[in-house]
Amino acid sequence: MKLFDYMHEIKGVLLVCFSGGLFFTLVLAAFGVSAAQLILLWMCFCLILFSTLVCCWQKKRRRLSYLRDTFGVLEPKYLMAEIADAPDSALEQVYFHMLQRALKSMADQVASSQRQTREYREFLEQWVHEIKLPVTGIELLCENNKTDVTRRILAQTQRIGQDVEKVLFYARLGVAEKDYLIREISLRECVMNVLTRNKQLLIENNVSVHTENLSHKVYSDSRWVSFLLTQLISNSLKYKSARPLVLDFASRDADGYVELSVTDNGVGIRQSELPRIFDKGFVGSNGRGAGAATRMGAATRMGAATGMGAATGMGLYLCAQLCERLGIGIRAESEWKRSTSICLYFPKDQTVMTQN
Amino acid sequence: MLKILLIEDDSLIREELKTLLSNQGYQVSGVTDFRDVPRQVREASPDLILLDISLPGQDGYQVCTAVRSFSAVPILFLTGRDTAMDELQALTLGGDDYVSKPYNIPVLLARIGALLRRGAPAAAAAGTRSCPMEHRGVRLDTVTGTLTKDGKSVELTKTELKIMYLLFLHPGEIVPRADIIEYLWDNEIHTDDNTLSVNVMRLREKLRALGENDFIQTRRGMGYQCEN
Repeated sequence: MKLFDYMHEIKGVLLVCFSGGLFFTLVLAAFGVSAAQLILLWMCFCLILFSTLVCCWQKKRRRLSYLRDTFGVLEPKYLMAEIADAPDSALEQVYFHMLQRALKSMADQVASSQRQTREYREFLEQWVHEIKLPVTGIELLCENNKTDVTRRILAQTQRIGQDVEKVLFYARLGVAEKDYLIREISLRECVMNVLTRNKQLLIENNVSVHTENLSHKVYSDSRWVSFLLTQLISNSLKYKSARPLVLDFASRDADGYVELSVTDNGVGIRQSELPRIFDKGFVGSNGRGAGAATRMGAATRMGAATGMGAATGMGLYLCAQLCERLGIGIRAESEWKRSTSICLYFPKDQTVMTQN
Repeated sequence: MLKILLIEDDSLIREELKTLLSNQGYQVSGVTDFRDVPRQVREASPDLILLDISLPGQDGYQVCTAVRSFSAVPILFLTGRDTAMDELQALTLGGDDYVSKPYNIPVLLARIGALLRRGAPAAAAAGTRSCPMEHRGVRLDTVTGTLTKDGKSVELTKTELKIMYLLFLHPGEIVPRADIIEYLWDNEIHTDDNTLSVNVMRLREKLRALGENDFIQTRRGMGYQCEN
């Protein structure tokens, strides 16, 4: 707070002081005090007034500075009233007391909200655990009775698996505890596992896959990387063109990173939409039929009409979020109506991984 | 025959796993009474234990610790949970490996095989035949990847070799296209329907070069067959 501002604030007091001074000057002049003595008196008066003013100003300034500093480094900010020292001025005390109660009520809300989220997430984890039992049962039944019908059933349970995984990872995104196990994984093994897990679904959709150049090993969490790859495959399936889908997995060295690319020959992504594909809830103009579907509602209607699943716009968003937490770079390239390529960049230096 | 003991409380999964593993040539028994599991383990004395972590009234980790006190039998944890903590816990408590639901079947079977090989190297070998196979005078050598007849031989690509191998395994039977494609996928050859047709066409050309004109027959809507 500048001196000028402070003086402006106490201008009433200053006005009274100077009026009083003037009054007493006149009275003293009437009592015969000489001009020189009056000037001396005025000078003393001004000196006392000014030094008192400056002291009060500095005190206020220090207090404000303290409050600002405390507020600046405090996290979360709504604990301000608990952390800052109690004020001494009566007015400030009133404000402070109100602030305390207001912030406490908000902190209670936040705690309650966090507890609700945690309970919901725990319920979801438990639910996912439970749902895996019948799904596993179905898959084992189909595996033990291989026919055309059971193969098609397996393709559908693999779709269920993909969506259940999506729910689980979305729920885990917001968690404070980090559920990672970083170790050396073989990209080839990871890709093969994902392909096997979605085998019937891919075969049913007449997909062919190339995996020749996958010799690299990287440091990451194999489960999360598997999830990423599954989501990318699911996307490629969703946005394939009329011609048979071809998926290409390749890895190469790139400048301090290992680049893993997943390329498909699907409908591609418009250049204008490319920067937004990782946004939460973004559903582009892709899919069958004419017209752009830029809101989820429209996408759902369109999805229902064409028999294709409703796009939630969450798949790539989840991937981007995960990549951020794992220290993996993600980038998309596309040629409209020709191909789409999503590249993951794994840092070569292991120490870069542990930032989270 | 190798003995596997299944400790899983979901009855459908337990029964189907039994079927799956018996079909692979293992002798399988499942625990149905979950009181005093360690005693049942001691009585059964298996070569491998498949242990579910969530069991009624106890958790799989306790069972593992109890079993480890008297046996070093390989233990493969089966579970629905798949957090990093669970995996670490499973392995540090004496488990040998860890597979989460839903089971990636080929991976599950491979891991069981690997654990059993570790325990009893000679007994566990149940792999594919690497000896040469023969049908109607045509010999398939899986090591060199060649088809030979009357002294003439042709080389096969990896894909052609696998297809031929599968057909040789079922002489005179119709092998459905879906089975062939799935077999190729299980062997990391991820082809589609068209590619299969192209490969069979190439195989037929190579067989013609050996003088076999009708070796592989197409059964419309059903698959391929090596005529008897």
